[in-house]
Amino acid sequence: MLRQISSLRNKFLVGFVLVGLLPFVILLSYTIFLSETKIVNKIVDEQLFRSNNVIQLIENQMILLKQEVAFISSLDVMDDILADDIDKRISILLSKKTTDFSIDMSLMVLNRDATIIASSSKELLLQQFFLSAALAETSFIDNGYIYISSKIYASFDKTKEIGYLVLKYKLQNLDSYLTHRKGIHSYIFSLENGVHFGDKVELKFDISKKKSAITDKHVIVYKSLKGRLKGYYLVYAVDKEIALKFLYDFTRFMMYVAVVVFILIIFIAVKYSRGIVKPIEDLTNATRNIIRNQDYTSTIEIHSKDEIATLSFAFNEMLETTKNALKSLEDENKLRVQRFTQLIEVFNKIIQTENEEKCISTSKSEIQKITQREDLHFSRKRNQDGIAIYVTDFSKNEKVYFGTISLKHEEFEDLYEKQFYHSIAAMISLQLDHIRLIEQTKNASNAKSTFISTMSHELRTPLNSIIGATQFLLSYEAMSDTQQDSVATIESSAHYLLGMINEILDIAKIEAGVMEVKKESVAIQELLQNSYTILQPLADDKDLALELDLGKLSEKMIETDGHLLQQIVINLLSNAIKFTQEGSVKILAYTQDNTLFIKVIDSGVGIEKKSMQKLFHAFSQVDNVMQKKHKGTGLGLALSQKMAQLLDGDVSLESEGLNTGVTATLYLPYNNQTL
Amino acid sequence: MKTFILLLFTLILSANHYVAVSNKSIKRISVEKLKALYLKKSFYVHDLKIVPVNLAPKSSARTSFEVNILKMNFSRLKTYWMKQHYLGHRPPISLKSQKSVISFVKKVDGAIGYIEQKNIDDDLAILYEWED
Repeated sequence: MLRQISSLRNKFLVGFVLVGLLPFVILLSYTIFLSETKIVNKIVDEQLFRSNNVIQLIENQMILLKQEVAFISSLDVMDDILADDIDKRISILLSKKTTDFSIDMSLMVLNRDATIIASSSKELLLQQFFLSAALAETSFIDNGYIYISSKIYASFDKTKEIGYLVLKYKLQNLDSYLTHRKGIHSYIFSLENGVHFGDKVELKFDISKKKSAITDKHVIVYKSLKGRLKGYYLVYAVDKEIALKFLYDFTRFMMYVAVVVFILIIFIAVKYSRGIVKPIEDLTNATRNIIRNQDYTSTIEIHSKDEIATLSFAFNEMLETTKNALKSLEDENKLRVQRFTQLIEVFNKIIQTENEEKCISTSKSEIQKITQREDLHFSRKRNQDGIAIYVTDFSKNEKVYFGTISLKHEEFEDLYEKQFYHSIAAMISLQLDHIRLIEQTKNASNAKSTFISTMSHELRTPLNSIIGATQFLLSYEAMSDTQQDSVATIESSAHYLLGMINEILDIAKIEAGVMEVKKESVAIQELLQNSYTILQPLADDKDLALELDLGKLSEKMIETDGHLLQQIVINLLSNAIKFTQEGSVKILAYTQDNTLFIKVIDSGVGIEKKSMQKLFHAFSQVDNVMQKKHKGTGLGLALSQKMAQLLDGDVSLESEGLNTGVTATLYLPYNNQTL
Repeated sequence: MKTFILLLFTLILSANHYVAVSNKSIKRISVEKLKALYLKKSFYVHDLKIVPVNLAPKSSARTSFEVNILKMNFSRLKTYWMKQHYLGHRPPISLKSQKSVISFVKKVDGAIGYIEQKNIDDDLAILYEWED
């Protein structure tokens, strides 16, 4: 975010700077690159023009000098050569001419023997002129001098050579044609003889066919002189520093202005961009505050009248809308919670109803309370518009029509309303099922209780009669041995049947929850002793050693149902005796951590581990070799376990396998604190 | 008297002798020939081209020469040479001093000049002599 703001500001800055500086940069580039070239070209042109002029002037000077030499040489006074210029007329003339020219030159007249007989400078007189080559040509250059010569003919005889007129012209004179000004260097030089005059500057540049050269510091123009001076170059060099001074000054000025303008632009850009970005930052900060504090009541202050202000205004409007939306949402939410609470209350009230009519009437009044619809009513007629309630017929396990919730005048049009009523209907239907189920369960329980009491009465009465009758027969009737045996069989079978019925009744009672547990303080030592005494005869019959070990029994009185406990102990003990052919059966009792442990350890047939689970199921005995010898209903262990569970304990069996004996353990937690 | 005598003496002394001279290439010539040569009416003496040499105008020798030999005064000579100029003839060259004339004459064959007699030397040949 911050980065975006700064980038926005940067964009503004870059934009401002570009718009402000671009023309400057273009102008600068133009002045620096194009103007320099143009100015340099102009300088080259100017200097070329100047060079041409100078060359022309020099040429003119040379022509003039030649003409002068020719003229002087043709004068009649030259005849004085023949008189060795005794009258000094030639010398005077030459001096005068030299003075007229007012340049560093000397005129001399030679006779045919190359003796200087007349000269503008006296020191040369009567000297021998050695440069015979200079006399052969009209002009000749030697050692920084140009010699212009002309043959002199006698005025009276034009075929008669009488001598030579020689003009000795110092090339240095040409310097006067050169420009000597600050910034412009001009000189003449020759590559052949190293002559150099003019400005004492040595510029190194390549003389080719080009007319100009541009070095780092100078713009150089050069041109060869004409005529005899061919091979001499006139050089004009302009100091760039000075020639381009104006340009450089202007450029520098532009640079300074650019810097100033740049700073000004930056300043203005920063100021303006801040001005533009500031409201955006304010907007951002306000937004952050709102997000952080969840305070939708705050607004953004608007100071300006620009687009940002419009944005802020729109933002404020959006805030207002959001605030309102949140408020309405909150209200609605409250309402919904209220509804939800009401609904739960309704459900609560419905759940508490105990019969169908009450359920329906309660539901109706409660729904009316919530929805405030007076026209809501319930009907048991079929084919009505509205929401049908179905209940479960448990006997057939299917849904059957119960009734309809409907409105008197209109239909449930709103989908959500319809769903609401559907869920209420489902709730009512559930409650109706519930009520029905409770009623049905109660009925079934009642039926079972009736059945059990009937059974105990109806079955026991004839059996008791049978047993009584057989016992009477055995005691009082005179019967043969065969008859007596038969009656005895009837009697024992009847006993067996009675035992079995009692056990079945006990199990049925337990399962039906009819078996009552009467907890009382039981003297456990006495109880075990009694059980031992009861089963002693059975063990004696089979010559089994029956041991009772109460050494570790620390607790004497235990809060439990003594009757049930005794029954469990007798069951386990009789089972052990029943399944043991020889050896011993040992009863071990001890208490540990508020739990009573009674172990019945026998040395009987034992049980395979895989058969262990079956043992606790009613009517099951483990198949073994001894089976036929054991009479029993197979209910004993299951009954013992169920009884133990009634007393919050359990029974378990341990055996290492067949013929290893069995240890049956009863554990019984007790709580003696109530004692 | 004394002044008169001195003047007379001077006049006698200044009664100048002049000679027309050349180098040895030319023998004596007549005064007419001399006049013709100086007026450029004649150019040769025995196939030798003659170069007459004047002295500077207004000099005593030249005045004497013009009076005695050419028999023409200065203004008449001027008119003469003016006319001759249009005909393509130019007056003789003139040298400034008798010394020059002597030197010139000695060097140039055919050159003739006039000088005072006292200036004469052995290398010169006398063509004609006169007196004021």
